[in-house]
Amino acid sequence: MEVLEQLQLGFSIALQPQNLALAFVGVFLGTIIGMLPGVGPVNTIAILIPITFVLNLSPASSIIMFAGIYYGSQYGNSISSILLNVPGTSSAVVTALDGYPMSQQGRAGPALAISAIASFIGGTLSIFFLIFFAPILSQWAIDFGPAEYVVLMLFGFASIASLTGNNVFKGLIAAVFGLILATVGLDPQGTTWRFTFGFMNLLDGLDFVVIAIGFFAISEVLHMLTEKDEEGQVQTSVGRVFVTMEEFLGSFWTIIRSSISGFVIGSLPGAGTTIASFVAYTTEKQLLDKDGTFGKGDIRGVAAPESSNNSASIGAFIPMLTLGVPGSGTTAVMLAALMSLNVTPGPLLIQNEPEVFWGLVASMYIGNLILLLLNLPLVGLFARVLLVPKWVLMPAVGLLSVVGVYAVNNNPFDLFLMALFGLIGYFMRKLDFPLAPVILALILGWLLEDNLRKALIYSDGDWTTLFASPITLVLWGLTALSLFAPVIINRFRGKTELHLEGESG
Amino acid sequence: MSDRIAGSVILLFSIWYGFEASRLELGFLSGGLTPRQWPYALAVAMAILAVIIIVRVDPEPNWPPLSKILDIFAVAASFVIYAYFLVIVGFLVATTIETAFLSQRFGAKPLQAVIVGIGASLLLYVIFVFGLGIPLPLGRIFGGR
Repeated sequence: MEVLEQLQLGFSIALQPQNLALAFVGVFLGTIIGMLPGVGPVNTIAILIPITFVLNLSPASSIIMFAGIYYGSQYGNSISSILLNVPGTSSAVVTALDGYPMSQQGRAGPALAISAIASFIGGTLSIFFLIFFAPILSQWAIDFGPAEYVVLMLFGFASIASLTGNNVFKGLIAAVFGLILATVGLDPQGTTWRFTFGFMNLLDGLDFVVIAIGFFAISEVLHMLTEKDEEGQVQTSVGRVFVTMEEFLGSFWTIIRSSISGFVIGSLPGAGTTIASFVAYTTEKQLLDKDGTFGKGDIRGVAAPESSNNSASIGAFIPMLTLGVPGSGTTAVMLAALMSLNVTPGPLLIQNEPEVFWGLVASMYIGNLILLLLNLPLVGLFARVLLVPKWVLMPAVGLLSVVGVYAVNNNPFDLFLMALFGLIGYFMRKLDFPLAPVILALILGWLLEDNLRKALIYSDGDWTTLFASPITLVLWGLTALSLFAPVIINRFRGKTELHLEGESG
Repeated sequence: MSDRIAGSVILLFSIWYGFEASRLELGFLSGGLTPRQWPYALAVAMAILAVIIIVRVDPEPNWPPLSKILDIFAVAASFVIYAYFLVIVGFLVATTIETAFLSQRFGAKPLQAVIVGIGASLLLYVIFVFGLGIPLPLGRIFGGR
């Protein structure tokens, strides 16, 4: 019953006219910006953070808008994968596998409709799971001391480093690089300024908004500059956006299964929406693909990744809200935004800031509903954004970033940092270094050092305190597991391939 | 080869970072971790990882031609130049020129670029100043702040 009361509080917050409007604006902007090639949720949120600062939004209102942007851009991504075969981010790659063939066959309407419906069901189910699991997890984490936090954060870094890229070592370098960036400024003890090199602007440390926009948005603009133009016909006549009852019932269990697996995967730090949609697609393909229709425009091949990635994007809020350790680049940026609004995500969040947590939960539901109501009738209109040439879109993205960064502090030095990190981000992208760990580590680096220092003070300088409690041991085990996960997965792949070769030969 | 170069740059960076850490002037110490130890640990971790990258190289990425790489640096530099011109000539002029330049780099014809520049700067000005109430610099030469 208590949950219902809390939910009522949440809905009373989310339904306030201002918050409702913000959710709407978030979903709307998210969808449009998410459709642009390469501009995923992280970029969109990073670009729009300064605006929420300047508007003086309350923490609850800001996160409601961010969440709207998050799933709005997820859907925007699906639109461009289905119509254009140009997925904005890796999680939408899977949607294109069956979505693009469907639109080539003139079935873009049903593909977009099932995508909206599957996202809605996935979202609804996973919000239900979130309400159930988040309080339990935060209860469990409430006794965490500094030592437990240190190991928990190490686990977060390890899993995001090993799961977001193709090379574990490059992921780890990205994480350590973020930790190094976090050491600029005053140390946690408050006695020493480090690595400021006499720049007044560095005394407070590197501003995450500036770094995040440089790393994600500017490096994307630079990346697009060197890419050749995509060949391909934009399908803007999508026809009627609907699915028949038959098509819907045919995908129903696919949607349910994919939502559940998506939620579980999304709530693991680092795994995120990409892995969730891959897992859902391959599972459904193995279960259902008896006639070999997957990959040739099977509607279930769109339903699976769409429900799963929406569900995963909500699952990703769990580690961020309950432990204060975000599981993805996008949630890391949101966490940082909340921290600069003086909200500390972590086990105490649900108790201390119920309006933030429950307002977010309620707004997720409303946001998903808006998404469904907005997209089914308007998708044809949205699709026209894709006709706007690159030489209008890309300068617009670059300009929004620049003005946003400038609006935070009115300081030209910030734009210099933004450009510098844009360049670093570009070369990291090219060399296959993941970017999300850098941001995560930049945001948590200071806390990690501070907790390590406290843990060592409590234990009188005895480092074994990091292995002293059962919780730390479990977390160390998980850390090791996540570092070796890619190795194990590859070993398996290698074995099955060998096995297949043996059979055929 | 790219990975070897990147690894070497990272290795040099970690050595430099460790050296800078050793030159830190420490204030009053209250026990636990000193402000130097943490950077030392990071420098060592980074150096080890850099050596691993140098030894185990990934497949070579597809580099764009040199002219395109120079383009990237030009665009990045333009953001910095924009920042300093913003204060002098004001938002509208600086933004029009910057946007037109970006648009032209992304393949617009000159006239198109100018139109995009004027359109974008006016639109953003209206949104920020009248819509969001965020002041933007008018420019020193026009008598603004």
